[in-house]
Amino acid sequence: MEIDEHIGCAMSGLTADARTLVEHGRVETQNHRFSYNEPMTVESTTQALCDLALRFGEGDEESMSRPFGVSLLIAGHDETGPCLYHTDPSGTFWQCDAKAIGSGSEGADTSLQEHFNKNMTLEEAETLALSTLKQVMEEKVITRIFFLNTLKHFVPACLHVSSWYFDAVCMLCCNSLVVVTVIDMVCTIYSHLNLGSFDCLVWQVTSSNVDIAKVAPKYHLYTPEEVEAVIQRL
Amino acid sequence: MSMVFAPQLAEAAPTSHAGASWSPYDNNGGTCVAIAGGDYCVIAADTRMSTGFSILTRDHSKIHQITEKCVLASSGFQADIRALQKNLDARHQIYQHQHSKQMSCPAMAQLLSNTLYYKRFFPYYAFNVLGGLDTEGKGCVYTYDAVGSYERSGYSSQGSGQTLIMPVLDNQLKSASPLVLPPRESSTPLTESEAVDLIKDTFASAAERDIYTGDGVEIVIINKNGIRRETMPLKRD
Repeated sequence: MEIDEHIGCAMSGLTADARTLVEHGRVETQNHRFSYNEPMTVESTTQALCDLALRFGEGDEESMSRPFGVSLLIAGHDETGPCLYHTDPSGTFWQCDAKAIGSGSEGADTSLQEHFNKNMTLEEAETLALSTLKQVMEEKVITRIFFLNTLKHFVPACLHVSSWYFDAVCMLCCNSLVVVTVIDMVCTIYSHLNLGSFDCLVWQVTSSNVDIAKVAPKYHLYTPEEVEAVIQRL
Repeated sequence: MSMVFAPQLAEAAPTSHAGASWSPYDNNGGTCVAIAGGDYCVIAADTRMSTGFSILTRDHSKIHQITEKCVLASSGFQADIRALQKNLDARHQIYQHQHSKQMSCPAMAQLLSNTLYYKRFFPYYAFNVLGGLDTEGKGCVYTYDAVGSYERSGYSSQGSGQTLIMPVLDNQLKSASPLVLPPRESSTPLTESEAVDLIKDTFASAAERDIYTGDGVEIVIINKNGIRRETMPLKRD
C-alpha cells in the first residue's frame, strides 16, 4: 500500500491491523509535509509506525488491548537513497537490503541471501523476486510487486500466482526497490490458471496471470507484451 | 497607562482621554535586511531598540541563529520576537531528536509560517526575515508578514526603515521585469563582498532619515564555510 509518494509498505499477518498502521503513517507523512514542506524520511516514518505499534494504538480511548498482529516492510526513497525497513508487532524495526516475511519467509530469505547483491539492476531484481517466489512456492499465491526507482514514485505491481505459503519478499538494489508480497488467497485464481488437481500444483507465470506496474516517473502498467518480456527472463 | 492597574480610579475620575487603553503590543523599532546570493546569504539588522521617542538600548541584537545554516532577523515587538525565537529553537530541538538531522532552511521557513499563523487571532508582532542556505547550498531569503504569509525571494527588508531601504535594493538588485525572458533566478548576481557593502550603504542611508534606525548594524554572512559576523557603527542621533 502507498503511504506517501515516496514510501510504500507491504504487510504480512493480520492485514486488517495493517490498515490502521498505514493510515497513521499517511497522516504523519502529510503532517510533516504541512509543517516542514519536505518529504518525511523513511526512517522517521518507520519510527512513527513503530511508536504506534508499541502503544497498541493512539491515545487513551482508541488504543487496543492487544498488539498489532502484523509485520511490515516499509520501502521508500529519501535523500539518503532507497531504503527498506522491516517492522514487527513488538515495535522494533531493522534496516535491510533484502527481506522476505511471512510463512514461507525462511526459505525465501535464504535464497535472497545467496543471490542478492546491491548492484543488481531493476530487471535482475524483478527476475530474482519472481524466481525466489517460484522456489518456495508449491501452490498458488497472489503476490504484488512494488517497484520504487530513483525518481521517487511508489508504484504497486501485481503478480498473480497462488500459494498460502509465502507472504512477502523485498529487495533493495542499486537504484530501485522491489517488494513482492502476498496479498491474499483467492480460489478463483485457479480458473485463470487452468491447472489440474490441487495436490501437485506448479506455479505457472504467464502474461494472463501476472500484472506488473512501475512508475518511472509516471505510473505505467505493463502491457501483456512487457509482462511476457519479464517472464521470458525467468 | 496607570488606568489599567487601578480601574476603580477610572470610574471615579472621568477621564479626558479619548479611548486610550492598554495595548499588549509595543513597537521597538529597527530594520532588518537580507540578501541572497548564489552560495551565500547576508542578513543584517540595526542594533537600536527604542520605545516611543526614547532609546532603550543602542546595543540589542535582532538576529538569531536557529540552525547551522539558518538565521532569523526580526523587527517589531522584541518581547514577542524573543518568545518566537525560543519557540522555534524548541521545535528545532525536537526535530533534531526525531529525525536525526538539522532542519533545512526551507523546512524552517514553513515551520515559521505555521508558527505565526497558529497565533492568527493574537499575532506575534514580529516582522521577520529568514535567511540561510537551502539544501543545495544556494542562498535563500524568506520574508514574512505578522501572520505567516511568506515568500522566497532574492532580497528583502522589514521594519521601520523598510520603506527607505526596499526601493534602493530594488534599484540595485531587481531584474528588469518579471516578464524578462529567459527568466532570471531569484538569487542576485552580486558577490559576497559587494552584497555586504550594499547593506552597509543602505543602512547608513536609512539611519539618516528613520529615527528608529541607527546606533549600529550587525551583519551576519552565511556561506559554505560557516557563519561570520561583522558590525559597523551608525549615526547615534
